[in-house]
Amino acid sequence: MIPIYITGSGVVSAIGVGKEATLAALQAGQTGVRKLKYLDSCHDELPVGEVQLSNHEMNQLMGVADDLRHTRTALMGRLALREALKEARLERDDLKAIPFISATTVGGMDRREAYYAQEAECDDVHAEISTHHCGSSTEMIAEPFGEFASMATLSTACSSATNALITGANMLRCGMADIVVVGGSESLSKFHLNGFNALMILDHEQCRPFDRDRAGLNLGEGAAYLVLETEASVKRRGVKPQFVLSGYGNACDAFHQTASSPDGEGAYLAMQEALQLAGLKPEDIQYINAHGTGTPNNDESESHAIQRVFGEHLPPVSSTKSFTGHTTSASGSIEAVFCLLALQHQFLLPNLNWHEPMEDGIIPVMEQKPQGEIRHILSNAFGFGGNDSSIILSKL
Amino acid sequence: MKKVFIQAAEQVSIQEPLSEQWMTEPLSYDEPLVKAQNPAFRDYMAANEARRMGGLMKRALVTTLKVLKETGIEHPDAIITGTCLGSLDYTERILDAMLENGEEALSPTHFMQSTHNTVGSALAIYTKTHGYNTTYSHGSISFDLTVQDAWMQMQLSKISTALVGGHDEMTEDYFSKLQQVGFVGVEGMVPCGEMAMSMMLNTDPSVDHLAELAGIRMSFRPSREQLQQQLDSLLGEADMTLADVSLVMTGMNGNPANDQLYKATLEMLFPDKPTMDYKRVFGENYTASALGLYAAAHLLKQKEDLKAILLLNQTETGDCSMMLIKK
Amino acid sequence: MEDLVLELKNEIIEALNLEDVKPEDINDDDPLFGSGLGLDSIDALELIVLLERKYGIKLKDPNKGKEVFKSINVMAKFITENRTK
Repeated sequence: MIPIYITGSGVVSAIGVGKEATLAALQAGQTGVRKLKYLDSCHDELPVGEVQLSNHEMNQLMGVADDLRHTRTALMGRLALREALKEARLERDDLKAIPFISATTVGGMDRREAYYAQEAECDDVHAEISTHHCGSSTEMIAEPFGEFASMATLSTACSSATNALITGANMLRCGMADIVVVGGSESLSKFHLNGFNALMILDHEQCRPFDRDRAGLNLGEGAAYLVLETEASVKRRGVKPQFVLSGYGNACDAFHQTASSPDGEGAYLAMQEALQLAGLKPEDIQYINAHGTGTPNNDESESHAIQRVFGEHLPPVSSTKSFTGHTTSASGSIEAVFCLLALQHQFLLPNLNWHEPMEDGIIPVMEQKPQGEIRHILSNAFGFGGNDSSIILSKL
Repeated sequence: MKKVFIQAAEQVSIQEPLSEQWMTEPLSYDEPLVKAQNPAFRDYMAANEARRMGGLMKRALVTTLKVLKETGIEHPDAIITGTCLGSLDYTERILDAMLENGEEALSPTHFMQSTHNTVGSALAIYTKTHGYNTTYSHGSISFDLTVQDAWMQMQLSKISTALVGGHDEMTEDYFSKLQQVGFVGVEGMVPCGEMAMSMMLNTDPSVDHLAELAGIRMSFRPSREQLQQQLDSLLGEADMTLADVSLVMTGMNGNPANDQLYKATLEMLFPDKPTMDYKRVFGENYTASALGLYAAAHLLKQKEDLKAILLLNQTETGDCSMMLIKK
Repeated sequence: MEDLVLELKNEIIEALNLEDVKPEDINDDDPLFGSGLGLDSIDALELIVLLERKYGIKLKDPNKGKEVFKSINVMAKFITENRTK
């Protein structure tokens, strides 16, 4: 496979705005899962990983006025996109040749649920309708920065952003573009907070990925974007990348809409495909950033899938969802950026809140010091409906 | 360039379902909102298997099952789905329930089926297909993105077969809001419809096929020069010239705000070409372009005098897609 | 109790969209899950919602559902003892 360089990235989540704050929180083991503060929901018994900024504060950071149409998904997306474009040294005019591929499922649902009951005044209707669907959020995220060559939005629940990376990488490999910007953004909404609650998979405490007594996930929100580039483009622009996307895989569990199969077939196939594309063997991976939501079902299924792939070559594994909560559609790109930080600063991402081993499950790593050099990291993202994806990020 | 063929395509829409009757006896409507003409779902799926599925999913599944049967392909290498609004009906039931009961006693089934990717996953679960599976949701180019994705992966020799689909439904409430912002229900405009379309793409030239998919180009707010360039490269790759294009199919729908985008492009790129507006047959909805490609493929198969069709899809926010198909 | 049993059967048929099933098809002591009606974990969640919405009973632990939903009779007894609506 041609090398796919990563030349810029940006992230916003419950543990901070921007990579510097994020790195500090990761290294300090400081969780961002807290009591509900910004979302207007009565379920404040459910711990969540909210970005610690109101919509107004996010607009202030971007230097724009508040607007009825602004979706929280778009506002956090803009912050992350700005950081990524800046690092990659991409200006307004450069975007004309760059496809933008974003991912979301919530989109503008925060606006829709807020206005649903109201008698439709024209402005409210505009806000509700024109910003409700997923593509609108993508457009809104891109808008302050310029006009991209093309736009796309993926929506595969919790693997959405990972799949955006995959589509972008395929575009580069096909010669459809030299540079792509990929990632995802998702804000909390009452809609899905209550939806997940109806599925009874939310923990009323901070989540405990891979713990014997884990009781569910915490929802989170955030955004992250990455800039992917071909070799020719990197040379032409004179940028110096540190990382590559060396492999990826997408497979379907084809088992159930909300549960993973006991042996994690979809996950297994996705991880195998990623390794194959990267030309790597299981023993070449130094760390696995698991999907690890903390639900009884996922952690069991994922443990089995990882064991099937890695056997006796199991590297350190952890989930970072006890830091951020489960950021659903954005989780794939947010956690990819965490992995880049791990590669850059050579530390393992710790699994918080773990106490007791699961039966036949993964025992996650809780310390940060790696055994040797971390060169390749595998990161998983598994969506409802069995949309399972994996990526491998490598240090140059 | 690897050749890609449209092996089969089926639809459920405001026209006679799972049939090409629209070619000779199209149904016509006066109402601004028309619900899909559903087939007898029982004939295709067991009641207990479909009990959790809303209308959108059942329509998507029935078109898929018919395509799989016709092509004899049980497990396509990829299932790639486009839907803008997803299961809108179930989404609104949750919103209604939240209004009525506060944030209590919500149906897990409605939530589970409301996320956009449940259609694509349902198809994989029902057919036990483990291959690549993804869903695009980007307004009126949701379906076009599925074709682009399948095309890319076929050029990379990653897959040989792909089930691509475009599905959208409509509710009274959402329609009335879209009407207020002038997207549908405009005087003189085609009705807003509901649609599901599944299509098998295949790189095997030996299979029976409706047409060859010669290429696709997608862009955002392209300049005149860029559009011309894209058309030239699309034709060039297919070893064709503009003269070889028999027909341009457009997404014009009688709504001036929508149609003016097309008129400008037609004037510039296809000044003397005959055109056909597929929304006049299938109505307007976000994945109408799926019906456009379906119709183009069947027309090419059946009509002797058509050699190649170019499909043009343009959105008010600036997305543009061109698909070229030929005999 | 008989009225409740019939009402419950109709409620279940509607909540779970069991189109082809009539109340007389459901035996009062037959298991609802596994064999019998062959319901699954999502159906269990829907029944939890039904208990809350119709009978005002809040089941916090989804695992408790396994005992409560053993059969129509077991469910009806539980509702009689715990309903607040």
